[in-house]
Amino acid sequence: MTGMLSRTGAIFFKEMQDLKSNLGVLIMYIIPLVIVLLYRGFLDDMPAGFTLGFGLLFMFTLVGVYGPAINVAEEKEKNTLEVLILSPARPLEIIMGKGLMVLITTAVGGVLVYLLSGVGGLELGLIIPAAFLLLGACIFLGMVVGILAPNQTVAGTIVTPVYMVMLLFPLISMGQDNIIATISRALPTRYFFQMVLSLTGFPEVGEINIFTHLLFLLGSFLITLLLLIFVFRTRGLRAG
Amino acid sequence: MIGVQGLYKDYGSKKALQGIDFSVKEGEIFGLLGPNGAGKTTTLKILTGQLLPTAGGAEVMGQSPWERPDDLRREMGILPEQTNHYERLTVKQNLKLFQRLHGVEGRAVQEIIKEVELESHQNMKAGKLSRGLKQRLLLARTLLHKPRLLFLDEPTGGLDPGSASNLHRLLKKLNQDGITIILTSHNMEEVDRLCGRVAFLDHGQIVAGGSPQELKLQYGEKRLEVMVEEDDGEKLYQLDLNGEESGERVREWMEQSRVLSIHSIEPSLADIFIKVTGREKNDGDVK
Repeated sequence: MTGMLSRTGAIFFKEMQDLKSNLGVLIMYIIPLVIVLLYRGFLDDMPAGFTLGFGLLFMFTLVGVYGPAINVAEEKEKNTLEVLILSPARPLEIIMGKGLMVLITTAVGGVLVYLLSGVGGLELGLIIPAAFLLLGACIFLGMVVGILAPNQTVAGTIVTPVYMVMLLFPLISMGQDNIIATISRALPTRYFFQMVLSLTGFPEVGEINIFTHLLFLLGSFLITLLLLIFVFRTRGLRAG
Repeated sequence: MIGVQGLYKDYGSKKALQGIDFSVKEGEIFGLLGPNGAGKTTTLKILTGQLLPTAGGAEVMGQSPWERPDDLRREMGILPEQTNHYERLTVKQNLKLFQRLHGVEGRAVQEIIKEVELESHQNMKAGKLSRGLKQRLLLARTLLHKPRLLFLDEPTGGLDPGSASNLHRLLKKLNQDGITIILTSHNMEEVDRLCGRVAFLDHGQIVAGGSPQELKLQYGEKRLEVMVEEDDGEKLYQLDLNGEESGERVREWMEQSRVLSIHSIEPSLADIFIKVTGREKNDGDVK
């Protein structure tokens, strides 16, 4: 157990060191923060709750899905994954170390989005578990893409429409009853976004059942986790 | 230390290995030679537990390499053909990662950096290193956990002669320190310089084996080359090494003080490889 923790920690620490010099990935963390600042600076009539919801969705889908997908695919492309697999690190420890880095850094990004959004007095006791479940689902999905894609180009090609749908469909389908709204009902991002809007008093969202939404997010977390386990066990880390 | 018996490996219809047998003793530098596609890397991958054979057996340090590969890998170092560092991390950060993964305590990183002479580059990003320095970093990473057995896949591939020579010096020193080394190469000169014993692989079969000297004696032409001063200039004669007539002629030239140089014609390992396989020198990158 100590060895497992130590090796997972080694991968996590390596990922943190790598992140500091990986401008391409760092920009992904900065974009949502810039968007939040732009909303606050230039869109005076934009409710802070909407800014927060959009900022968090942007952070979680962009970094949460894109980050692990590109990270795992890059390791395969540059043959560094092979070295890790030949080291005493077990594939599960590699996945956990990487996932932990994305989880912690994206959570910090989420806190910054919250602080910059200008929302005060939010019920963090409800938002934090919801954010954790959504972020977890995003990371699991990103990992699945990373495992299946042979290189960064393929990972990027697969993950771009995924994160665009997850980010934009809940927004553009608000108050609509069309095909996009129907698709949105299957997306965890919709439920998270509605929760944030509701908890910040955004009028257009109407009455929602927070616990049903939390339950949906939990379901998404578990489904994506099972999908990751299935892909990991059937294909291994070197798939693609 | 290593025993291989009747090893076969098929990739679909392609037969990568067709029943090879060889053994490696503790403390040896053993070379697997052959052109690209001969089966060298496949052999190494099977012995390091990365691939399962189609048939046959192998034992590495008394164990099957594919039953508990993780246990064996604690005792072995594997240097892959391609350099694969974390290029955004420094030399030291790259090594620290593997120190933590191997659970190696203390000043192992500093010691290995010193051993492979990377002290002045330790804070440089791996991506900025030259090809030769990257190869030294690879070797440092491979040696960090003090393995007893080293597998080196084309260790000097793509290196300039100076860097290759430095690496050869390091490998010889490691071997003197007691590390058993198995290397693959298609560079016959390198193997001749480094290895105590070699095996020639061609189309997945071992076509010849032994020490470089034994192979040279076995496959050499046993001829003598004598440069003699003649009235119309220098002339090169090739004589049968053991012929009675050759001795007479050489003695005569020597008595007349006309011999400018004299040596036996010794084939290179590349010549022997070509002889035993019937390949051309540029066929499959034999150097």
